[in-house]
Amino acid sequence: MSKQHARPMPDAFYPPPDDELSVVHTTGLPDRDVWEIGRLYALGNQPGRDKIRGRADVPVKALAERKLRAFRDDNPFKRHTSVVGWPKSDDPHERKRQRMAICLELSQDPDIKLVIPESPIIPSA
Amino acid sequence: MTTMDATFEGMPGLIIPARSTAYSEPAREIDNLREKIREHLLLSYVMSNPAGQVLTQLDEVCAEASHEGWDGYGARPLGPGAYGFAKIFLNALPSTVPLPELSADADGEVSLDWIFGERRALTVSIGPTGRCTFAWMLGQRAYQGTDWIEDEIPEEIVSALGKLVRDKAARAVR
Repeated sequence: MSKQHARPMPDAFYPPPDDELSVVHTTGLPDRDVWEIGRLYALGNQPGRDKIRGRADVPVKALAERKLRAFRDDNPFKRHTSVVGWPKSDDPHERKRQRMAICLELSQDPDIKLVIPESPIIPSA
Repeated sequence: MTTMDATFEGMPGLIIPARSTAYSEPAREIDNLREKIREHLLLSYVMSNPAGQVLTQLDEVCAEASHEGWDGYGARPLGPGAYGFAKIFLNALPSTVPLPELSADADGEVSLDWIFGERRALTVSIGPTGRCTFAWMLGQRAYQGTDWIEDEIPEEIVSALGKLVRDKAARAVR
């Protein structure tokens, strides 16, 4: 994320190799519960997963406008949702280019809000 | 005839080296003079410090992402190829352009991002062969492309940066 511009960076939205971007369905959840889901399921012992510095709140409309779909599967945890429908060109360069363009648009969408916790979210003691 | 491309969309780029195809004595003298000015500027804190900072940042990103799974989700390591081309890219950035935010992509490429304001941004991903994949937007217009770094920044990216820099300057005046 860019703290300077209060925006998530495009990379935050780039799908992993299985083409399913893991997100959480947060509708109706209070803020502290959203962070708690992150604490329980996003943090781990692996490098790069030791703390959460921020999150992007994404309305489903913002995904639909880019022909993406949010599919709630509750797997591996309740409220887990996968964002699917990423461009699937056979040419890996073209695929990356198309996906980067979508991620850039998402990062700049004013309906998508960057939320920064008062202090980074770390595993429970 | 002396030609120099050490300018950026009409703005002087003071850090990038002068390139000249001319062989005459006056042309060589101009090149030498320009190189002395460039070296002098690079020694000054104001000009060299930001450029140095971004190269240090690149080293940090590379160190952090140098092993398999550095992101905790099975990311590919950032290798010497992508690092080397990112360094060429950053060294060739005109001093009139703001420095990008650097990060590593999960596919082992180096990511450079510029945000110039609402819906005004450029993202570039540099791969191990020097391939630059990029996307940028200026208001409602959005563009994407692929090009290769040789010994300088791909022209389309220079042009995109120029438009974004000029747009920001124009909006600041309004």
